[in-house]
Amino acid sequence: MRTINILFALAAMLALTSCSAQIKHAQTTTVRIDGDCPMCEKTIEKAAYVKGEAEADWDVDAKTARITFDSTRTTLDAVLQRIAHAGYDSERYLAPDAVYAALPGCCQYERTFKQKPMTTPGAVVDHGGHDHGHDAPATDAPQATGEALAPVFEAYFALKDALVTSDAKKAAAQAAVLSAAVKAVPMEGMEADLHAVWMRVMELLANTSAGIASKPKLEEQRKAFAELTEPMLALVKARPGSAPIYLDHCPMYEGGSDWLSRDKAIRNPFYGAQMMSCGSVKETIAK
Amino acid sequence: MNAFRMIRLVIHLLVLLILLAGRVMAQTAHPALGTSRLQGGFTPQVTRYDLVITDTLVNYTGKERKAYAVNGSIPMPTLTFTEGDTAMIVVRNAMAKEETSLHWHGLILPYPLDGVPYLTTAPIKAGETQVYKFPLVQSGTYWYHSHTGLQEQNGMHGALIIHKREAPAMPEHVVILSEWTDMKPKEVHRRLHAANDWSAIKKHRIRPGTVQSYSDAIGQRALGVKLTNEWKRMNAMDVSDVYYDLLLANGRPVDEAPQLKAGDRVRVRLINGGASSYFWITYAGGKMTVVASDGMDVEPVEVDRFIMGVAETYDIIVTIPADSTAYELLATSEDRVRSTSVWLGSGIRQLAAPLQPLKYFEGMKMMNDMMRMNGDLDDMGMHMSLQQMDMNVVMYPEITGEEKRRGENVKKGGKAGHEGMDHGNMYNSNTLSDIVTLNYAMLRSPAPTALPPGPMKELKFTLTGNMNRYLWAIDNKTVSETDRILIRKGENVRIILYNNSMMRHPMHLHGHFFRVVNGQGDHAPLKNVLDIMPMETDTIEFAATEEGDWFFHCHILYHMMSGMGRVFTNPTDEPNPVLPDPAKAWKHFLREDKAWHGMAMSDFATNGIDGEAMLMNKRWALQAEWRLGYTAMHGQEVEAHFGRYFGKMQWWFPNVGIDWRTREEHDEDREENLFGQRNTKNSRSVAHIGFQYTLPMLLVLDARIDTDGRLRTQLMRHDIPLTPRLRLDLMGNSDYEYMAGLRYVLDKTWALRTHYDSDMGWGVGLTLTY
Repeated sequence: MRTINILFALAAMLALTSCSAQIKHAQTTTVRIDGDCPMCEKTIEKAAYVKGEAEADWDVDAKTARITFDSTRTTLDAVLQRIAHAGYDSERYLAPDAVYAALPGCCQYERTFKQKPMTTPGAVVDHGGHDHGHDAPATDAPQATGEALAPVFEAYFALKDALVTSDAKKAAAQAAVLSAAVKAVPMEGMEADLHAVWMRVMELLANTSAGIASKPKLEEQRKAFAELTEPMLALVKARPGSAPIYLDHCPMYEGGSDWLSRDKAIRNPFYGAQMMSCGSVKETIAK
Repeated sequence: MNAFRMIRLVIHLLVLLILLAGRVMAQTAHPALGTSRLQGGFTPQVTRYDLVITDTLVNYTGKERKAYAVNGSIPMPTLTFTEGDTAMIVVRNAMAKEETSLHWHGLILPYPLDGVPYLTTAPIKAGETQVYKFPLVQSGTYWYHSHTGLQEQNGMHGALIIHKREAPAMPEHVVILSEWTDMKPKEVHRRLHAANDWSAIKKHRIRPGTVQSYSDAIGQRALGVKLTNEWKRMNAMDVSDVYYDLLLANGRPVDEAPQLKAGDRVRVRLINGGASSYFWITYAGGKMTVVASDGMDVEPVEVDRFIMGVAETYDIIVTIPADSTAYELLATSEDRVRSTSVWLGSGIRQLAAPLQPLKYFEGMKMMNDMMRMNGDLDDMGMHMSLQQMDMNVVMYPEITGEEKRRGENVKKGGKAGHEGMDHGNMYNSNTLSDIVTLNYAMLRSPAPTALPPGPMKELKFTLTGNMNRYLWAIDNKTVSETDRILIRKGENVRIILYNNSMMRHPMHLHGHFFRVVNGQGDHAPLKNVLDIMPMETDTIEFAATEEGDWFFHCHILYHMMSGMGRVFTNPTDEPNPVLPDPAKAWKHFLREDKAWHGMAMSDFATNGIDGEAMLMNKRWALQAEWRLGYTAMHGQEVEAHFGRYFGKMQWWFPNVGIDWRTREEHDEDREENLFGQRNTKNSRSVAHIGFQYTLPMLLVLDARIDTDGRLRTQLMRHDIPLTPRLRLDLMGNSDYEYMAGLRYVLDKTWALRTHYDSDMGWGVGLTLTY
C-alpha cells in the first residue's frame, strides 16, 4: 500500500514539473510588463505561451516577466506583440485601446508606457500661430447658471446610449451616476425660473434613476427610462443650449414613448438593435 | 508679295494657331474628367522611367519560390509624375520565355497604350521593349500591373502617383497592399476550378471554423443551419477564395514610416494591389479622413474604418497623436485570417485592435434566408446598394456581438414576427454600432460631375456565378460567349448592375471614370472600380469619350480569368497600329476563359485502386472513373463520360460515355438490377447516354441507359465534411453496388483513406490528389 502511495506521489510530481515541452535554443530575457493582479498574470502567461516555442513567467509585484523563447522559431518581439494583443503594455508594444478597455476592472492597470497625445486624437491641428495655452474646452452644455445642470445632462445621455447598445450593466452604472449628479446639483444661486422647474423634477429624477440603477434587467430599465423624459424635457426647455436637443418619439413602445437625444439620427433606446431606427423627431429644442 | 498672298498667309497662320490652341486646351480640360483642371502657364516635362522585367526567386516563408521583379524589386517601383507632364515608360521584358504586359490602372490615355494584351496592346514578348508615352491629364493615386495570365499575383504590381501641379506640402506615404502564396498561381487557379477546399483547411488552422464542417456546426449548435445550407445546395461560405501565406505592405510583412513625428498630418495613399483579397483598414491613432477614392478627390469624410476592394485606391489623412510612438495602420483581409501593418511614426508601437474571427454560421444562416431553392438570391425587399447594408455584418463580432458559445443556439429563421418591420437597419453597421464604416453613399465629389448632354444608352448587367464550378460571368455569359458592346462618342452609357451571386465583386472599367449614382446629385463621385455586394443594385454612368476597345471586368484575378467581363468598343477612325491582325488578336484575347482545367484523385488501397479524373472548361467536362482490383475476382472497371453543364446553377449535366468492366463469375451476386434487368457486372462493354443532376444535400443523381438497353441510376456524394479534415464519400446504385469511404486529409496532395466497396470489400490506402 505504502509503495503505491509513494509511486503515486512521484508520478504526480513528475507530471507537475514536466508540464511544458522543452524549449530548445532557449533565450531568456526579463522585460517590464504593466499589470495589476493575479488575473493579469494568468492572461499574460497564457498569451505568451506557445508549446515548445515560448513561455513567460510574470511577477505581479515586480511587474516584470521572464520570457523564455526558442530563438530559431520566434522572437521576443512576437511574444510581446501577443501579450499586448491580450491587453498588456510593455516597452515595445502598447495594447490596443479597445482591448485594454475590455479588461475586467481590476485588471485596468495604470498605463505607464503610454504617451499622452499632443492634441485631441482626430482633431485638426491648426498651426495658425495663436497661443493655444489658455483655450477653454468646448462645451455644449447649457450656458451660465444652467452649467450646474451639465453633469445631469451628460449622465442622462450616457444612460440613453447604454440602453441603445442594450448594455444593461452600463445602463445601471450610468443611472447611478445620474442619480448622484441630480443630488449634487447646487441650488444656491440658481435663477428663479429654473429653480421652480428644478424643485418640481428633482425628486422624480433622483428616484427614477436610482430605481434604474437597482434594476439589472434591461426591460425594466427601459420602462423606467421612459419616465425620465418629461422631467428632462422640462429642464431642457428651461435652459436650451446652443447645440440642439431632439425630442424623439417611438410609436411602438408602451403605446408611444419619447426620449431626448443630442444626435439627429434616430437610435432607439427602447428597442436597441432590434429596431434601431424606429422613431422620428417630434421637436427640436435649441436657443 | 501682293496683298492677297499676305491675307492668305495671315489666314493660314491664324487657322494653324487656332488648331494648336485647340490641342493645348484639349489637353488641359479633358472631357472624360468632366471639368477643366489646369490653367496654362507651365512647360510640360517628359518624365521617363525605364523598367526591366525579370524572373526572380523570393523567400517569404522559408521556401524559395519563383516571382517577377521589375528593376529587382517587388512590388514594382513606384512611378511618380506631375499632372500635365508627359509620361514616358520604357518597358523591357528581360525574361527568357514568357510574354508580359503592363496596364496603367485608372489612367486616361490613347487605347493602344492601355496594356490589355491582344485587345488593345501587343504583348511584350520575351526580349522585346515597348515604349509608353502619353500626356498625364489627371492627378491622384493609381497603380500599374501585368494584365497577362496570373503574373499580377506574383509580383507584377506597383504604385503610380500623379501629383497635382500646386500640391499643398504635406508628408505622404504610399502603401501598396498585396498577398503572397507559396502555391504556384496556376495551381491555385486549378484547385479553385476543382472545388478543392485545401485553402479552407489551411485557413482553419489559423481561424478554426473556416471549413464549416458538420463538427464545427455541432460545436456551434448550428447543425440545423448547416443542414439547411446543404439542402439548398450550397457549399461552405467562402469569404475569400484563396489561402495566402502572408499579406504584404509595400512588399514587406510590416512596413514603416519612421520619419513621421507627433502632431504630423500625413496623407497615406493606399492601393489594394492584391489579386483577390479585400482589406479592412483601421488605424490605432484615431479616425481617418478619406479625401480621395480611385485617384479622384472626394469631400473629406471621417471614418473609423473602411474596406478596400481589389484594385481600389483610397487617400486618407491621419494624424500622429503622441510623441515617441508609432501607430499601427492595420490592413486585415476580409476573411480575417491574416493582416499586414504600416507603423506611422517611431517609438513604442501602439497596436490597433485586431478584427475578430468571423461568425461563419451566422453568415450561413443569413445565406440560407437569402437563397431560394433555385439558386436565386432574395433580398427580402431590402433594395440594397452602395455598400450601405453589409449582409456580412451578422458575422462581425465587433458589430453584432461575440460568437455564441455552447448552450446558446444560433437563432433560426429571422423572418418570424418581423412583418412590416424596416429590415434596413438589421444590416447597416453604422446604425448597429458606434464604429463609423465608410460606404459609397458617403462619397461626394467636390466639383460637379454631371455628364454632358447626349443620348443615354442604358445597359443592365446581372453578375452571376457559383463556387461549385467556379464559373463567374455576367448574365451567365462569359466574355467569349458574347459580342462586344458598341458605344459611340457623344453618347452617355449607364450600367445598372445587379449582383445575383454570393460574393462581392470589384468591377473595373478601363479608360474611363464613371459616376457612382449615390444620391449626391450632380456631385456623384467618380471612380474606376466599384465594389458591389451580393444582392446590391448599383448604377454607374460615363460619357463615351474615348475611342478604342475598353475592358470592363471583375478585378478578382481568378474571376476575370473565368470570363467575368465585357468589352466596350467605341469605333476608331483608324485601325489599331499595334495590333496589325485584329481578328487574330481578338480570338487570342478570348482564349483566356475557354481554358481547360484538370484534376485527378486516386486512392491506392489494399483492395484496389479507385480514382477519378476530370478535364473541364466552363461548360464542358470529360470525366473518368476507375476501380481496379488486384485479382480477377475483384475485376476492373473503367468508365468515362463527356457532357455539358446547363442551367444558371449548372446542376444539369447530360452526357454520353462508355463503361467497361470485367471480372470472374460471381455466383452469389444478384441476377437482376433494381429495374429487373439482367446484371452485367461480370462483363460489360457498352456506351451509354444519360445525365447527372445535383440534388438537395448536394447528392449527385446519375441516370443512364446503355447500349445493352440497361438502366442504371446512382446517388453519390463525395467529400462530405464531417470534420475539417475528415471526409465521407458515399455511393449507391441500382446495380446494388454501394460504397462508403472515410478520408482524412493530410495535406494538399495526400490523404489517408479507408473504404468499403460492395464489389471489392474493405480496404485501407493512401489517396493522391492532383
